[in-house]
Amino acid sequence: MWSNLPFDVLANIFSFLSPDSLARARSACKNWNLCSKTCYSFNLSASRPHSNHQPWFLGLPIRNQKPCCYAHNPVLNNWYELSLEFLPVPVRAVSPIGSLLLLKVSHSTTLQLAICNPFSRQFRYLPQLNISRTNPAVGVVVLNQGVQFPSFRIYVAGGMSEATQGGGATYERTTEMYDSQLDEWRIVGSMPVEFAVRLTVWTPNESVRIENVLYWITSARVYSVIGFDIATNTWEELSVPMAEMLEFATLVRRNGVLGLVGGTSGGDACIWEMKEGKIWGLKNKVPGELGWKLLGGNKRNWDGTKCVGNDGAICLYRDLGSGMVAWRKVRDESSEWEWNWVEGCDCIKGKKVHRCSIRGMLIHPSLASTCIF
Amino acid sequence: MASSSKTITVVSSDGDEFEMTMKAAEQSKLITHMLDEFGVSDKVPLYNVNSETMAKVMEYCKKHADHEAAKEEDGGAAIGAGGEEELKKWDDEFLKVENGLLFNIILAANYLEIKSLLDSSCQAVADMIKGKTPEQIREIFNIKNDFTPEEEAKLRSENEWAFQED
Repeated sequence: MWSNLPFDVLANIFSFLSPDSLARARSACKNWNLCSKTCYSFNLSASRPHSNHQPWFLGLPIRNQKPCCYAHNPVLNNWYELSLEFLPVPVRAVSPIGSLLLLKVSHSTTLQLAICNPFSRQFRYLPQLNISRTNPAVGVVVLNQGVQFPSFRIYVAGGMSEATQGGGATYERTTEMYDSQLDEWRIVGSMPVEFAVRLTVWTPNESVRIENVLYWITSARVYSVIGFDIATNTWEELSVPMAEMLEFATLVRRNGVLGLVGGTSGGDACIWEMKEGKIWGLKNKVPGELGWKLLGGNKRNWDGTKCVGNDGAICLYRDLGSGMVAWRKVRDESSEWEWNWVEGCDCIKGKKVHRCSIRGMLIHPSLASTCIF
Repeated sequence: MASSSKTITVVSSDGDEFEMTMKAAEQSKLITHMLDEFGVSDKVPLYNVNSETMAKVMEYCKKHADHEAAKEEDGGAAIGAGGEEELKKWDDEFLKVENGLLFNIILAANYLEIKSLLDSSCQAVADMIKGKTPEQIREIFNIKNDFTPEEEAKLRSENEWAFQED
């Protein structure tokens, strides 16, 4: 009976499954296996509402003793260890791009980017930049949300490049853009040297895109935000609330608006949102008892706390075993968000997991293969 | 509209006749098309749906038709957000049937083109699959394992991370 369901109906059922359940379902019998691999099934999956497919938190160990990462399923509330042995070189995660991860090669002094899908074990280098540079800022713009593998653009700005004649390295003022549809880099503009310096020296993390602007926050105090308007090719600097006092600060995109998550010594972790006129307003605070749990009961010292966020979730974390504070959208249509505690990952398949420092990413996991690779 | 008081008759594969209002019938794209093509006076034969399943489908269509009518009545004020939640709860309870009937409901919803019932029942099945191992899935759905041990081992290794028995 069930093994002989019409393929379109079976694909409909599979479209509601997250990758872990799908991986197990496709092992039930040959028909189910075949059906689970069709594009139809994956495209239907991408069209399901948010509540069916919440993003997963992916923790990538910073010092990779063994090449793997740790994924958390928010619905079943369990952790998985995914092997990254398919990666040809050691890498660091830069940014999620829908179901993919943008990576940079660890042992390369100049920037070499690559993309991978840790669930389908596919990997590909991106072409070389036009101008080699070290430590530039990297920003991602996803062009068409809501499809399985959206097209995207990557902006690389600043960094140090070798000087043309014999001398020392110089700050690179050009901005380059990679278009996934053309699979090539183009120089799209240049920036005032002071921005090139700041972007290079502070090596900011993940960018946040709000409409036409890419924002980066500096990686340490005194925090400030740099914005790059893609449409007008202009740069500006924005202030950050309590910039000298924050012990950690991350930019997030929340409900289409620029958000800032940060914590001060002895205080709560807060979330600010940027309103009209580029003014920050306090939006919410991390509930005291959850913050306390995250810090391991220590005094309110937020040093070492990290955060990732996207339109559907904001996660505060520290290391792999410390647990997470998650603020997630409850349903697609409502604007209700709820706070949850997520236990850290300390045990996989009965074996203890080494507590390690991780870099977190929010990814929409997918088993689908894509020809982009 | 006058048509809301009209009823039509559908006939199951077992030969039993079921009456449904036009509004309930409109829940099914297939029935709607057949009525457009052949008119409302004749009985609509639904050879692919047996009586037990038909009764359930009738119940679903009536409930959803009534819900829609209530929404239209006072611009949706009577229903509100709570109403949608209630309907979803009703759907969840409605689908708590044994697997054989659920299977037939899915096929009927697919055949009759009742999108909301198809999506709800597919989601119900997906919920039964979530968190289960392949062995458990086979047991629940009475599926024969037609993989050789080598094939099965290969499948496990492809997505090794997902196979983590507690």
